[in-house]
Amino acid sequence: MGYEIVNRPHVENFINWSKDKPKVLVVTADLTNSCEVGKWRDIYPERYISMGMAEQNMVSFAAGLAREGFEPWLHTFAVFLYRRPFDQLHLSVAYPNLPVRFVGFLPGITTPGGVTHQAIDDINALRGVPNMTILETGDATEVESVLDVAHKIDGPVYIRMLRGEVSRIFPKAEAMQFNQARVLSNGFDVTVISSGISTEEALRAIPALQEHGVSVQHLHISTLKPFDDPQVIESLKSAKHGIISMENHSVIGGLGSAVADLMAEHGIGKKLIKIGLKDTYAHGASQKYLLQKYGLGARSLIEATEKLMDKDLKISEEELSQTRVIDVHSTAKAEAL
Amino acid sequence: MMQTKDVANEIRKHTARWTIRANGGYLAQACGSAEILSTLFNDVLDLGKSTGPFMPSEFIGVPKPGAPGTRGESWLGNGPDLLVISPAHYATAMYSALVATGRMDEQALIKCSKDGQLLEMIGAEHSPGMVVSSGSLATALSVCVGRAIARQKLNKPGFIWVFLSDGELQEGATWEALQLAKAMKLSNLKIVIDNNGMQVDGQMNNVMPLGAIEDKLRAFGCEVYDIDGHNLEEINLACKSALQDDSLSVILARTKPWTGFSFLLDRWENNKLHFIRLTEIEKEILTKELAVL
Repeated sequence: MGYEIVNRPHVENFINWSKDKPKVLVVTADLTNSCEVGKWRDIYPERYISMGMAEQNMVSFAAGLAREGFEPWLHTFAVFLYRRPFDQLHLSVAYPNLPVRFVGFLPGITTPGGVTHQAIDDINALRGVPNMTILETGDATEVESVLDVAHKIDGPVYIRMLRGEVSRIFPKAEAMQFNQARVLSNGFDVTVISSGISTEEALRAIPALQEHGVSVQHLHISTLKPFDDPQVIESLKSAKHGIISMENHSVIGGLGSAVADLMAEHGIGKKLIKIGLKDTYAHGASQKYLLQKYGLGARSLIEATEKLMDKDLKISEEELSQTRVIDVHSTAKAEAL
Repeated sequence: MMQTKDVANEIRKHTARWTIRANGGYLAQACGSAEILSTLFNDVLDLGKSTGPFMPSEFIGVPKPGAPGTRGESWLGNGPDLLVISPAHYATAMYSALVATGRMDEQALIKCSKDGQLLEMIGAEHSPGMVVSSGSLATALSVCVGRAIARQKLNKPGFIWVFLSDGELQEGATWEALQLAKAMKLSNLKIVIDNNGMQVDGQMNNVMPLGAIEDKLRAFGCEVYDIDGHNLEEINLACKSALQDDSLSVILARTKPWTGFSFLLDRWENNKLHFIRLTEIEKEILTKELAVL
């Protein structure tokens, strides 16, 4: 499988997008180039504000900017946007429903930075925040089009953002739509609900499953909160053997839990297998290694399907579409971790 | 317009009556800050006319998309200045100040402090005179730094005055905000600290001493005015002087939160001054002293 690899899609796209939006400000906490806004800063210096390493202050400060009519886009690593400043995020931003955009880079195990840098419970933490919208990007097209989606929301938005070398899985013309899943394949045996980088992993496994006669309904999710797209509900209902959720996050409180809530609310009495970090921290290593070690990759989807169908599908490793391997120290990630 | 010293007196009286009525209240906060608030309202701030209803309506709901809810800020007027109370436990003092300065009906202190109304004990941004929901302390200053920078960018006139409590200097976020305000060379942000030396667990020197606050503030680049927070003239002069500063000014107002009622000093000594639930004897003393204040 050969997806086009887009190098640092956020850089130029965000610069162009911001051109006619004078109220858009960028606020960073000492990770400007690491969050691909170094060039943005050079082009719009009067709209760029550096906080230094002070995330608690950054979040409340952004609330102040928003109260005066600006739209601050906070750029730092996902993990630093919600853990330390959680109180500020709740009370300064979410309670007054202010249009602050939290652009969280390196979600989950996409960083080799280890436990301190891996946002593995951000969706869990933020789903409980009233007024908060949660979006996740799964490819270059979504990195580009998530800006418009977030911009239109009356209230705070948290974005799980991708950087560096990003696959283009979805056609450039097919922009992310708010609270609307992408139906990637239709089928009736199992329903796979995936988000973020897990979608690319799912897409490595699904052709092999289909080859072996499994009919797969596959939906890609980019809006994690709210989570009530009728397409998702219908897909959950139609799965004969069960449902598999797949996410780059803990299995507690993320996409899988959102799916479970929906199933319970709609009386969909089926088995659900949640692929994700199984209530564990990860550690610092390459994405490929971590996907395999923690059971987040394509192989896990094969195994989950086999379990739901109670069948050994005998799918070899060679049958899984090739994953692309990004070296930890590739040029696109030349900036600090 | 009521004289400044009378406004201060009224702040104490209204809060004392509230404390008796509700059998509990943040009386010491009002007693310590009465002169600061009255001076700010009467002599320093250019707030403009209140745009909030004289008798506040009931609580209409928390902010939601398309429904921002009531803004406590509207009772402070359309500016150009803005006063932001950071420690939300001073809400009763603020409500009392609004009444004393003719921005809110005195009856609101009774009518609107019941369940489902706006005058909550620990105020939030829908409460009259409260701008942010900062009951979790040491967040309002950061918000105000953001607003001050935004107003600079928009070329808006006026000053944002932030009222802090010294207890908030124990929180790291306060220093992050000061660091930023200094780096930004903000001249439209002014800070007043109620340096009353108390916190929930008792006297700060016993709980977590702050040491030389003025030195710490100066080391952060602040222009510090160390004054008697009950002396109207000193407060007024410091505020006027701060308005002329190009840099970050902090007025460190040393206050005695037991000022006004005799039994409060015992409570200070017994580390029970943060929240006052009156004993029968205290209620008698307070009622008697209130009558002659």
